[in-house]
Amino acid sequence: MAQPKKYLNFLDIKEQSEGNERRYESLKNIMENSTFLPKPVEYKDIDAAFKDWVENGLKISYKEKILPTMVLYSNQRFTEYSQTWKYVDENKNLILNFKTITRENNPQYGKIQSGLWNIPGNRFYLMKKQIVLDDNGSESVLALKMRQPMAVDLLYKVSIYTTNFETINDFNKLVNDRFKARQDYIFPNGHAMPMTLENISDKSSYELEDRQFYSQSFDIKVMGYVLTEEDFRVEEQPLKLGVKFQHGILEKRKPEIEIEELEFDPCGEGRQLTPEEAEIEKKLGKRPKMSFMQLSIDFPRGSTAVTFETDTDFTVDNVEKCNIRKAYVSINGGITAGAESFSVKNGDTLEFIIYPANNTKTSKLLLNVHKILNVEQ
Amino acid sequence: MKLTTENIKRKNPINRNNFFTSQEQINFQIGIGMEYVNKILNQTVVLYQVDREKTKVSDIYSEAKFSDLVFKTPIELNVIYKIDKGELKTYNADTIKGYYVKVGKLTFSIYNKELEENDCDIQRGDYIGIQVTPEHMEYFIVADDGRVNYDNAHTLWGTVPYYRSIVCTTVGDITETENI
Repeated sequence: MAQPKKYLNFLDIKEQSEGNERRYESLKNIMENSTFLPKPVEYKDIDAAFKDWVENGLKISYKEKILPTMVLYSNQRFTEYSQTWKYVDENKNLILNFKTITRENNPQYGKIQSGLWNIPGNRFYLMKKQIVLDDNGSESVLALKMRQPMAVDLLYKVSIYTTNFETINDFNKLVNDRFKARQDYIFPNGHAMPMTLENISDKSSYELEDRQFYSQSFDIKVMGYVLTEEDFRVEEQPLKLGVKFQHGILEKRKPEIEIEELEFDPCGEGRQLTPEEAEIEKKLGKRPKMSFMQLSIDFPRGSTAVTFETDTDFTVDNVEKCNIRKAYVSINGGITAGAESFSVKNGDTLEFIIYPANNTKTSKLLLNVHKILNVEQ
Repeated sequence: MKLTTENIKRKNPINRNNFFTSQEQINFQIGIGMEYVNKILNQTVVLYQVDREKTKVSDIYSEAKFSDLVFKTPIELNVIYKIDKGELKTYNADTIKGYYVKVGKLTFSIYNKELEENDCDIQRGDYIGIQVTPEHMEYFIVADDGRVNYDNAHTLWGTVPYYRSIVCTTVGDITETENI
C-alpha cells in the first residue's frame, strides 16, 4: 500500500537563464551600478572579492563560532593587530581556530586567454555607441572605447589553523566541493574570474615536544585581468544627421588621376612580354617599341573608389600602394580582381576600389604601365 | 559598565619561593634597580604608541600610510638599551649594487613598573626614538614587545615577572619619521 509523503518537495519555481541569455546576464552584471562602460578592476578589487569569497563561500564554525578570516597581505608590523585584536589572548597572541589569506606579491602574466598575448599597440577598441543629448540641445554620439584587458594570474594561499581534526576534515571537504567542477568564480566589480585549486598542503605541527595544531594550506590560482581607468576612453562625435557640408567640399573628395610619361622603362631590360606582345614581336621580327607611363590616382580622405574610361591600349606592369591595405580593379564592370597586373583595351571602363589602412589619411595608387607604339610599322 | 562580580578580575596570591623573600623585599629590590636605571644610568628612549583606534587603515590590506598613523603623546621611558653594530648591505644582493648601512637592532629592557607608572604599554608596531646626538633622533619599530616574560630570567627569584625585553628594528623608510 502506498504511503503518504512525509516531507514536501522543494519546487524550483524561479526561472533561471541559460545559454546565451545567461551570458547576456553576466554582461549586465558588469554594467550594474555603472556608467555605459564596464567598471575598472584592479588588484585591490580582486583581493577584496577573494576575501569575500573565503569569508562567505568557505564559512566554517567550531564550538558554535564562525572561524574568523585574517587577511595577511601586508607586512606592516601593526597591520595584523588591526584585524586580530578581537581574537587575541591577554598577551595579544592570536587564539587558535582561524583562517588566513596570503597572496604571492609577484603576479605573473595571466592564462585567462589560454596564455595568448595581447594584440600589440595597446589600441582602443570601439565597444558601444550611445546617443546623448548635449547641454545645447543637440544630439551627439558617445563612442565608448576600451583597451584589451591585461591578463594576470594571482596565487592565493588559504590556510586553516585548528586544534580539531573534524574541523580540518570539514574544511577540506568544503574546499574540494567548491572545485569539484574544476573551477569556481569570483566576481570583482561584476567581472567573472575563474579560480582553480592548484595544491593542498599539510602544514600541521608534528613536533613531539612542541605545541600541536592542524594546519592545511590551499593554493588557489585566480585567472584574472586588470582594467584601469586609463583603459577606457569616451569620444564625443557630432551626430551625422545634423552635419551640413559647404559647397565645394564634396568636390575635393573626388580622386585625382594624373599620367606622367617616363623616359625609361621602370621594369628594365628583362621585361617579360605578354603573349599578345610576343606575337607582335614575332610578326615584326624585332622587339616592339614601347612607351612607359606612370598613372597615379590620389584618393582624398573618405574616398575609396574611382571610375574612368581609357582612350588607349596599355598594360599595367605593377601597382604601388600608399596607405592602402587592399585594392581591387574591375574592368567593364566585370569580375573584380586584385589590382596587380592586367591589360586594358581602348574604351574600357576601369573601376578601382581601395581599402585604406588609415582612414584619416589620404591614399595613393601608382600604376606603372606601358603601351606598344610601333604595331603598324 | 555594569557593576557585577563578573567584572571583577580574579586575582590569586603568589606565594612561591617566599621562604627567603617577601613582597616587601621584592619591592625593595625593584626599587633599587629602578633607582639605578633612572638616576644613575639615565638611559632613555621615547615611546610613540600607535593609537590603534584612531589610525585609519585600508579596508582590504589593513595597512596605514605613515601620514595616517595617529600617535599617542610621546613618553620618555627609562630603560637599559643596546644598539647592535651597523651592517654594510646592498639592496641588490645579486649584483652587489645599492649600498647602505643598516642600523643595528635595538634591544632594551624596561621595568614593568616603569610602564605602569607612565600608564602606557609597548606593542608590536609602536615606534621608539633614541636621541643619538643632540641633532639626530634615530627611530625604530617594535618587532617583539616582550610581553611573554614568564621565563626564569625575567622573574625575580622565580616569583613574578618584573621586566620586559623589547626588540626593535630600524624603520623601513627613514624619510617618513623626519617630521614625527
